[in-house]
Amino acid sequence: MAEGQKKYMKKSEIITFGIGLFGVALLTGWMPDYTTTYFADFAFKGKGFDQKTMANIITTVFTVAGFVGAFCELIIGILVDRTKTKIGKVKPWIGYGAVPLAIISMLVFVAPNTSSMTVAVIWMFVIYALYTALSCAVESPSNCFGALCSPNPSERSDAISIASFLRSVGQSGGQVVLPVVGAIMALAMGKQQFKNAEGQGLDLVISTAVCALGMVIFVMIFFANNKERVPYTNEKVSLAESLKLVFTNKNLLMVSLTKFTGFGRGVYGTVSLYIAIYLLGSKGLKLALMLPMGIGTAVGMLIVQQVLKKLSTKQTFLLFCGYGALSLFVLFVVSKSIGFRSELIIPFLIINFFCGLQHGNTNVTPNIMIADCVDEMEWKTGKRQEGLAYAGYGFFAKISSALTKGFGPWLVYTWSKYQVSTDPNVAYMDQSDSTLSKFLIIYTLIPAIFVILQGLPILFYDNVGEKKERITRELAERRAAAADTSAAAE
Amino acid sequence: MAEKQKKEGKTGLFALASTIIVAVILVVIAAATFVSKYTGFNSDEVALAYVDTIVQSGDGYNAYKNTILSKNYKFGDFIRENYMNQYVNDDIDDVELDSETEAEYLDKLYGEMYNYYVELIDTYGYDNYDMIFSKYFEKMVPLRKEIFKSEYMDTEIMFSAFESNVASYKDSLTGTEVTYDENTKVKLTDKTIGKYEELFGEDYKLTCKISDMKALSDSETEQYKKNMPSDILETYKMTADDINAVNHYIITISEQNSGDIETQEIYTVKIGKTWYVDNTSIDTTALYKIA
Repeated sequence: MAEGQKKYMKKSEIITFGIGLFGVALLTGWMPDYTTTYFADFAFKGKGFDQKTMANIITTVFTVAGFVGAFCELIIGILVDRTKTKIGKVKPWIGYGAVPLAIISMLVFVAPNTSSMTVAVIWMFVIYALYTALSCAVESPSNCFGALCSPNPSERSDAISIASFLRSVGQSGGQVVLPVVGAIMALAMGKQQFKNAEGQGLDLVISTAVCALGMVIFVMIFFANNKERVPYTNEKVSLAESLKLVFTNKNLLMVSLTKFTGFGRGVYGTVSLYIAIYLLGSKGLKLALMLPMGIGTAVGMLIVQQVLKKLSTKQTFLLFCGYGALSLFVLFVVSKSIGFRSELIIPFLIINFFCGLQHGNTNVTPNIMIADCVDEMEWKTGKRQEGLAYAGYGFFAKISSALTKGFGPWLVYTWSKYQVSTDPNVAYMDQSDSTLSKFLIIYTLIPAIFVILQGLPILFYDNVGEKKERITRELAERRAAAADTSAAAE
Repeated sequence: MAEKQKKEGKTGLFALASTIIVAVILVVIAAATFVSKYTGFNSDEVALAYVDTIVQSGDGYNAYKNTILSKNYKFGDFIRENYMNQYVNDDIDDVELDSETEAEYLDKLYGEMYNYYVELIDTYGYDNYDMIFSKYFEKMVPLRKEIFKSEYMDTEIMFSAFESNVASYKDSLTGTEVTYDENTKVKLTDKTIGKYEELFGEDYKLTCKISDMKALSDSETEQYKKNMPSDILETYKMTADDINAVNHYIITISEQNSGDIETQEIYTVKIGKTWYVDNTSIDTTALYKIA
């Protein structure tokens, strides 16, 4: 059997790799949105803090934490490349990092009993920044593991595909945990006592413990069973070098900028919890809201693969941007015409599926474009630098995420005039029609605008068609020549 | 080979040990947070929360969420089942109104029902919730039909009217500030002076504190349980035998400028690990007469 076709991984390893990513995503998917509602609605309930000030602070907390995450993304990437242990360079970060990550995640949901706003603000900044840093230290290496699990590209691709699927399932796992925890609590405590406990955010506390424990269990299964098999060298990569690489390659910069110009696409995630509460009737039903979109995303990934056979990456990306904006606009128009009431639920969920199709594009096409950019950089410089290219793209992704995490809570808690419940026995109070309309705009029109904006940098992307074919051809020729030279030398 | 197995063994051991340690830590943190935040496990907090809710806002309605009535019921479900369902008529379409007309009709409905709500509190008091809810919906349902010219009725309409009156009653005690729509700058509410402000001044501050507490002995608890109205407990889907402890409280209500102004006697009962106010043995009339 040729070296490239040899199978290295046990079948169980492919599964446990996916289980590990599922575990990490279970917690990192749970934390941001539910931390937002915990900080806003429960952490300092009854302390008499000014609601407007708190809303602005929460927005700032998430923005700052996002920038901390962007910085950590690069730092962790550099540290991972410098790590050399008997069990590998990535595994120690995932396995040993999971323990403090679980504990700090739990502590995010244990607010200090203080009447001092200063203490409350410091606590929110510190605890969420710590969480962000630790989640980077585990999540980023876990995403890299696929590149090291097998030297066989085909086997590696299969493992990555399965793990990516389980990771995307894991991201919604918390939405299943919450209603299950709620149902168990209601059964154990009685419905009214559960409502009283929910009014203090205690269902969120228990659900966080479940997600954190789940993360540790799943990560440890991965940690005990999986091995790194690709030999590595210790690259001394500087922060400046990483940034320079991204900013000096036009096409890579354009792909990375899509994250930046499209940062507001993700604000629907912040408001989705409240759409679930005020449209579907329960925060536990966020899953029902997001499931059609998730299925749409999975179907979208398949459609994108087919479209890419007919169109270039640039055309595909722009096509799906246009489609995405249109589908969100249709969702807005239909919702406004029916009104924010129970009759809207079914059409809302159906159109939500069609809105999800666009995410197939953002999950697939940029990754292919980056790979093409790596080829282009090798073609120009003779150096192949996947690690730096992905770290640079990841940096923009984190910056974008920081902006989204700041912008989303600002829209929900400040712009929409959302009213926080002050009743200790009531989790979420009724909202005005104006607030509900703005929730709808945050879920549809604002993301639609940013979907259009994310397509703009791609207008300047030119690694397609004849140029791309030439790069591929000439690289193949160079590699063949290098192989011949190497063989002659031996 | 042996070294490789040793390394794998160490990794597996670390995985197992860290999972167990993290599980223990998470359980301890979650349990400690739950116990400290959930008032149901603390008899004192349950008693204080009940009295404080009534004192601060005249809200005997939400205060019931801390009582034995809500032991096996979601409070809203108890009201639906016993007082609302008989009036529900949601198989037909409700009348379609423009938002301005709807707001006008709702103002009329809530306004007329508010006067009746106050009359019910004065006449029966929230301790007799049976009369409050029965009489309220008996009057509200035909009044809504008359104003809206629609036979349609659902529980949301009934809750909205009732809870609007609960909120207005609170405003009558605490007063309201001027508020404006932040988009249109149109004035939404006027500044009003509440009864508490008239009585104690605008900087009034009411506080409730436990001035006496006694845990009933076993024999006293048994006697207490014997005296409980079994027919009412039956409507709560419970019996006196479910109770395993009883506490007696005297709670003093003070105003920062006026000193002690009222006291309230109250019993809490423990069922399982949770404490509830015994609403069958309480007389809160005085709390509604503070103002």
